[in-house]
Amino acid sequence: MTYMEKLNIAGMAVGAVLYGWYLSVIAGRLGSVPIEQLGYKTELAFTLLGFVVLITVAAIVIAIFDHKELKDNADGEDERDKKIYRNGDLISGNVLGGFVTLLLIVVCFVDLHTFWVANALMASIVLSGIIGQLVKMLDYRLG
Amino acid sequence: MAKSTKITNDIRRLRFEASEMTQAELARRIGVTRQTVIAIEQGRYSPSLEVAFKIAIAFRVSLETVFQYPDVEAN
Repeated sequence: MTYMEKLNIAGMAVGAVLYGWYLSVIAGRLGSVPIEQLGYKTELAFTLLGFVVLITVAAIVIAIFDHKELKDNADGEDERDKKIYRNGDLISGNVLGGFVTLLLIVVCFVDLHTFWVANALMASIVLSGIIGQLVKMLDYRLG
Repeated sequence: MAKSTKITNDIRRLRFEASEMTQAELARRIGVTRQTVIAIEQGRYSPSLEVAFKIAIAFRVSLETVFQYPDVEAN
């Protein structure tokens, strides 16, 4: 398994754990208070920033364990890795674009509270990310 | 990206003839990961022209000795 493949799996795991935590916290509050009073912004920011921090830490830890591979392939510019990442990111970007467009269309016709808009955007980011990472995993196995 | 390729190769044989060169050694010489060499060798991935030339140079043979493509018109 290459450094980039491990990083992809780490990204998926970190994303799933953090978003799972966020959903469980918010779902627990949903029925108890009205949407207007429901606190979610701190947790949302923590989830997003937490992802950046944790994936950076994961990248460093994996690099420490994979230092030989990275040294042998000094520039870290493996063409297959790059193609797989480009393909996954392209699909992920298209999915995100589709979700955001759909959300904008909904917002044009339905008066949504900021809570729902923010969470729909968050779900779009997570879902598109997961789809992109799954595509990369599949490409690593088959291509 | 995961689509079959008609390109075949003799990398396994060439490695054997080159004093049983390991996949890791070939990967180091051509500047890719060992996993990429495995994917190329198994025909799951078609390398760029540049990497294909690097493989040929690593074995000191011509490109056609390493990679083959079926002549559709002849068949």
